[in-house]
Amino acid sequence: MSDAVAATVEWTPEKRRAYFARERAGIDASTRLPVLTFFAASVFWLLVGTTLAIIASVKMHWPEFLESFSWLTFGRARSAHLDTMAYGWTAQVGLGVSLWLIARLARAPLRWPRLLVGAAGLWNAAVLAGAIGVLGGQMQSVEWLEFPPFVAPLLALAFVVIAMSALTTFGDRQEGHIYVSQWYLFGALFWFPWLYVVANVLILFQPVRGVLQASVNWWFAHNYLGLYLTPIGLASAYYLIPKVIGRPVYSYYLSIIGFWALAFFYNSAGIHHLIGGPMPAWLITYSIVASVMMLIPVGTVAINHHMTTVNHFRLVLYSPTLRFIVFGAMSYTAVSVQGALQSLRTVNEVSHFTHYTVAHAHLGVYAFFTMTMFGSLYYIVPRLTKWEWASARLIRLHFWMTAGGIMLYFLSLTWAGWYQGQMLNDANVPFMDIVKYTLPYLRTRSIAAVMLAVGHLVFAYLFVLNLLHRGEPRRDPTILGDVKEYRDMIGSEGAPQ
Amino acid sequence: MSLSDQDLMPEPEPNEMDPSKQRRETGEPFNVQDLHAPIIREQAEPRDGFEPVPPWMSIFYGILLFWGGAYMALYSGGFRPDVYNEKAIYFGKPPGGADEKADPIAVGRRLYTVNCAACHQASGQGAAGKFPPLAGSEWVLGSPSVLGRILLNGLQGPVSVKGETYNGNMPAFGGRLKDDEIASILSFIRQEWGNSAPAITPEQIAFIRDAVGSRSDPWSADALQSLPAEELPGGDAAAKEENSSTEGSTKKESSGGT
Amino acid sequence: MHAVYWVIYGTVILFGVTVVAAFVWAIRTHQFQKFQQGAVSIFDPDEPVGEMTDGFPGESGPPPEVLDCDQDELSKLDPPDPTVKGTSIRHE
Repeated sequence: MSDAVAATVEWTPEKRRAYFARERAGIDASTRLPVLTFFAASVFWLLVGTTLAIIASVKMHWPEFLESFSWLTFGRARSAHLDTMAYGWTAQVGLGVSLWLIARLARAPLRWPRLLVGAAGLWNAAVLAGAIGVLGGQMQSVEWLEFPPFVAPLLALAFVVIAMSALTTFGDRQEGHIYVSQWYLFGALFWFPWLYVVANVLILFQPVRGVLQASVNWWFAHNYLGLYLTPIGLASAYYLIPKVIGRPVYSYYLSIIGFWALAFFYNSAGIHHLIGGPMPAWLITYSIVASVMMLIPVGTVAINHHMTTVNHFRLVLYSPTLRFIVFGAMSYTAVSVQGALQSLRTVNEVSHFTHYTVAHAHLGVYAFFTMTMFGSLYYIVPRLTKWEWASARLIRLHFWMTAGGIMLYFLSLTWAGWYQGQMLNDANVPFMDIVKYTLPYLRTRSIAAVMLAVGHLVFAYLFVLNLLHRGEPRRDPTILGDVKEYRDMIGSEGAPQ
Repeated sequence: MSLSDQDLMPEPEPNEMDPSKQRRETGEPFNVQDLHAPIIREQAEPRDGFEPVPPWMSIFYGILLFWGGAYMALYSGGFRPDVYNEKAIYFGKPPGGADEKADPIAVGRRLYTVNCAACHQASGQGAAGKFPPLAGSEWVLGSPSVLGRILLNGLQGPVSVKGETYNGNMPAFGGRLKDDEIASILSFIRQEWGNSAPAITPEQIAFIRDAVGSRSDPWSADALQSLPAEELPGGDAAAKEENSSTEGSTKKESSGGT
Repeated sequence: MHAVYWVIYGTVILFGVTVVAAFVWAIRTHQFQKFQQGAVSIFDPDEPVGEMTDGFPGESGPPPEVLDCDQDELSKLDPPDPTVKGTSIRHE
């Protein structure tokens, strides 16, 4: 077929450009329906999760707040916040970005888009049922797996369908080289079903006994961050940073080493949550070593992302995508180094069971993952809707509200948590004194939560405007031409697929 | 990561657009400079995607791996499933665990609660007229030969303890308990409630069991008091030594078990 | 409890084999060679090395000198050929 095209088309540089632009626009178009479905649903859950977060946060320093609603007690609101954010927002936005990246990197149209929309529907029905179950009091007492047990098979089924579509698309690939982002994405697509099914079977359906349940629980919860969210965030950064700047990553083979090191070490890191618990000493020591060894893949990622950006740092002024993703990449380095240090027994003795851990979790899931996803959405959505974002000013507002909010959140809770931990370790300090000490910081956290909520509302508003094609029509750099337009330029129907 | 020149050189591609390839096909002579230009260019360029690992980073990774190995060796509790304290043991020194002899006093306390406390009471005071006290009893603090025989075969009929007479029925435990279990119970009652007499070893009980032979009737107090003196293995000196090593292992275990 | 052991050992073996297979496959298909071409495989003649592909809506891009720095050298990297499948890296 390529011979036929080569015979009919004289490949001037302009036509070469047009050919690739057309191919890319066609691939983007094939992902439009499922990916936008995932994005829309995830933005909805982001708002739900934010509301629950504010309720839970306010209750920490104002216990009478909404006290007459049994389904919004702290325990339920906090768990519902965690689950809607985990399975409603992060998992879904991650799936949307993954599907788009997989099709792009394979240079092949996404397979089974309608089936994927069905899978997205199943996923959202399951999350909705789970969230109602949690708020209604059907909660499981297992962190990260609070959904009622019947939700797990539905989520797993939906995920398997999505992973199969991704794999089939990969099988159609035209691109011979497996870009580093693809390694990360396939890692995530394989690891999540494994983690989720094994954890559910061993905790909810065929429960293992005693401390083994706790170790399975933290193996899952930590790996959800490390083997599902982290690879997707990194895949997105590894693609979009070079793509936006227009410059290949600083050290490509380091990035490949980084992937395999992550695959090797991260799986063992979760048990450091059980330091001080009745676990065999070697198991905890092993997970501490694995946690510290994570500095190896983190170092390779840090070198790559920062060295790729460093000479072009001013570009964050001109690209919303780059601005969010660079913030996310810097947070990734910060949260990983913090996490490695925090897994050490001496640090953990102070920081564990305090607000410090909460701050650390949000630095990872929010400052790294969520900000990276915002950046990815700013890049992907206009290419799918063929419509430019409505307002640069609102994008800037979104950035400063979320970046400022999460920094305020992190700093106040880290400070409060560290001193809280030191006071808890001192038997002479009355417990109520410690509670009173943390109050101002908890109020600060609520202010930060409101800032984040404002950012999310602005983003949701922009997103809806974009879906509805509102605002003035623009032809800015993020918008690609139509498939038809490029076909006219090439002047041939028979170009290779 | 070693890279050969072949890796660095772009492969010649059959491409209609490239004039240099056409020249080759039409048989025109190669321009050597043209041919070498890509090679020179490849070498001189900033090699994006090819940056070697910075030396400081290799060193840092090396230190990390070394630290990881050392930390595993130091704080893994010998990779045993029953060691919870990471500082319990270093480099193969055995912990207080299944391999080491259990503390006979602790075992004795447990066995006493199960087998003896119903009559002699947890306080070791017994019950007036029927079950003689063990605390301060001259029988308990006295000869291991007599005490061992009471446990093995039982005791029937009146017995005088601390000036009071008791008439109960002490059952035989020789068929139910092993030598080391009997030794543990006896060591326990000889060192509890203010008693302090040397511990009794399993070897001594084995010796007594041997001497008693196939006797199955319970003893009377008179028969026991008229026993000839016998030389038990180890003697008092051995019992004392056993006692002190017992305390040593107690300490070790309590530090290893927490 | 037997089901539990099946789950644990079964998945560990399954995923261990998958990882080894992926690694062997990657080596056999030369994924770990020619990193330089791999790194530029995300670029094409329409979005070449040296061109920025994102900006705030309704605003002009960065001043040229920001992007200018090493355009010259980077532009020498050959863009892939559209008429050949799997353009960036040809398997031997």
